[in-house]
Amino acid sequence: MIEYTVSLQAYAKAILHCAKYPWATVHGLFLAEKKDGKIRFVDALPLAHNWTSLTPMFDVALQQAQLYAKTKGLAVCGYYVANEDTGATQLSAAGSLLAKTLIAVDDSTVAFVVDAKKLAPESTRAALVPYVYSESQWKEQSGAFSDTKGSSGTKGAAFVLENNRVLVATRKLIDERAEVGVHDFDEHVDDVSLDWLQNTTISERIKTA
Amino acid sequence: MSSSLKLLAEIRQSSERRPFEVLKLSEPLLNKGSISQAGDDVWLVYEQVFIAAIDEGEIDVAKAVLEILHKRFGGSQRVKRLYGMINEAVGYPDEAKKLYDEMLEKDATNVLASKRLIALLKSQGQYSIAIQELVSYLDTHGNDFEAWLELAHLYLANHLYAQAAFCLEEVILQQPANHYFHLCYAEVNYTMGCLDIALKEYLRVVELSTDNVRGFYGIKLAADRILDITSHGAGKSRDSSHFKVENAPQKATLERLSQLATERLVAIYSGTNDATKKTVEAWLKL
Amino acid sequence: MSSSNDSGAKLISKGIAVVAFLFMLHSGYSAREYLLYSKSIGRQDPSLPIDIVLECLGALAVMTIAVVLGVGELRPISYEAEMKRYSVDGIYSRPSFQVFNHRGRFLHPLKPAVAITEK
Repeated sequence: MIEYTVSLQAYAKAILHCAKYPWATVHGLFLAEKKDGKIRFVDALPLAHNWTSLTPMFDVALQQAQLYAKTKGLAVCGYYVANEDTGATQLSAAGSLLAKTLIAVDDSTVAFVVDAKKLAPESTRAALVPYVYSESQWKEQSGAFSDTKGSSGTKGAAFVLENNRVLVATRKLIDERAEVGVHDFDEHVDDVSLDWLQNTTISERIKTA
Repeated sequence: MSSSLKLLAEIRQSSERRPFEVLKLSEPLLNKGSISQAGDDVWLVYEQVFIAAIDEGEIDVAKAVLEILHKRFGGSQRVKRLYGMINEAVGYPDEAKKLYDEMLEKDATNVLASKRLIALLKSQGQYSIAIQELVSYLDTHGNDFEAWLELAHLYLANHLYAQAAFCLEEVILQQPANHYFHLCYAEVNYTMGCLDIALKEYLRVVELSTDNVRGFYGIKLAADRILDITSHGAGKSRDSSHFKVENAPQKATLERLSQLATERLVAIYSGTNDATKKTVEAWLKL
Repeated sequence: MSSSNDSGAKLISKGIAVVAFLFMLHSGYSAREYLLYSKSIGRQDPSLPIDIVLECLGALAVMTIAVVLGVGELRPISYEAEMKRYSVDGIYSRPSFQVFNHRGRFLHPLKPAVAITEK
């Protein structure tokens, strides 16, 4: 049973990226460290909020992300997407294809769809719905991130948040509108001085949240 | 004119969606009454603040601004549309639809109302009906590039790439010197596999806009991909018959284009920090 | 502050241009008066006295310079410079079709509200 942990840094950055462009479909990648069969998502790389079903800039960004990850000893094995349509919590066809390109490099890749309803302040569940690739399909892992461990999945994958501070800290960052500091690849391409790989300002802010 | 008003005017001009900033800038203007410095533009500023307020969910601010606009422009269709929009924002789409239908009854050619009805359909997730309505709207208003862009967006959301490309072609016909449209068109074509058109369009982008980073990334990607396919043929892992490369330039030209893109990207990235520079240089060597 | 200086300078330039134009009119009137006078004393084909010519040309030069300097900051006319005022986000924002029931409603929830009618 593969255990997936999502750290505060990864979760908060991804959610803040979704908060920066709430009217658009946004997507990005998760970087993870793999140890003893456990996968821990330690950081998020926000990709785009425009033209999220088009491939060229995604290909460039993915390749650069993989090169960057290698220098940090991490792997790109997570993909997150938040749909424009808040009712759509399914992994769309475009999302599946894009996430499949990650599977080609790392077969433990998980795709996450952000469920907007779970972003509300009173929610006690993580807003990510994981999809695991098995038998040539993306299968939803319902019941992930719930308190009862091992209650999900076909392949027996378990998803947890790093600790119970993650949701509280993320909520604090959303309330103080920290999302202004998140820069995705789209913004970077319009102004190359914006660092989408390290996102230092927001990373520091998240650490102290 | 104060700097806040100038910045608000710039945001209006570029049509960027920055509701948080707009509200932050306009709050002191509204509270201190210095908004009147905008002269005749003050009504545009009020409309801008209203839309930012409903985007952010600041319904009280929106209602207050709407009162001011209603007092000045009582029976105006433009203000009625704002009533429709605020109802959409607070979750009463039926009330909004009623208002838009009333506007269309009064004047069947009312562009604002037709567009809001399509937006309503979009907000309720009814993409196919929205597409139908938009197509019939474009039959009569074929020079409305915003509507063509919206249709392209709806098609892309439903993975109808060829149709989206058609919409972008219509927009490019109307504004051939605007590199943003060539950019999206290039990306759609690349996604569809028409690498020859994608390369040509990316080249057009860098021609129209000096040192456009997306353009150069696109040129390098497309040129390298075409070189890959034409030199290795169908032996590659991806089914290369899926790609169209017939009208691509010769091998030598492609190599020179790839080199040009590499050089320009190195020049553009020369001022960035180490991590970014190293990553890009490593990518360029791929 | 600087804008009032600018408008002050513009006002001065406009003033100078108007005054120079009046001088030009004056030189034209002088020329006409001189020609009528020469005709009345019978002189054929008179050439204009040098002071009228200098007044006319001088006033023209001053007026031209004042108008050009008083026009304010010149903006670039290249299409590319114009396009720099936009961005990908802006061009594709499609404001008439924007919807407002996006995920922002969950991130920053609204207080419950009633439908808002036009009075």
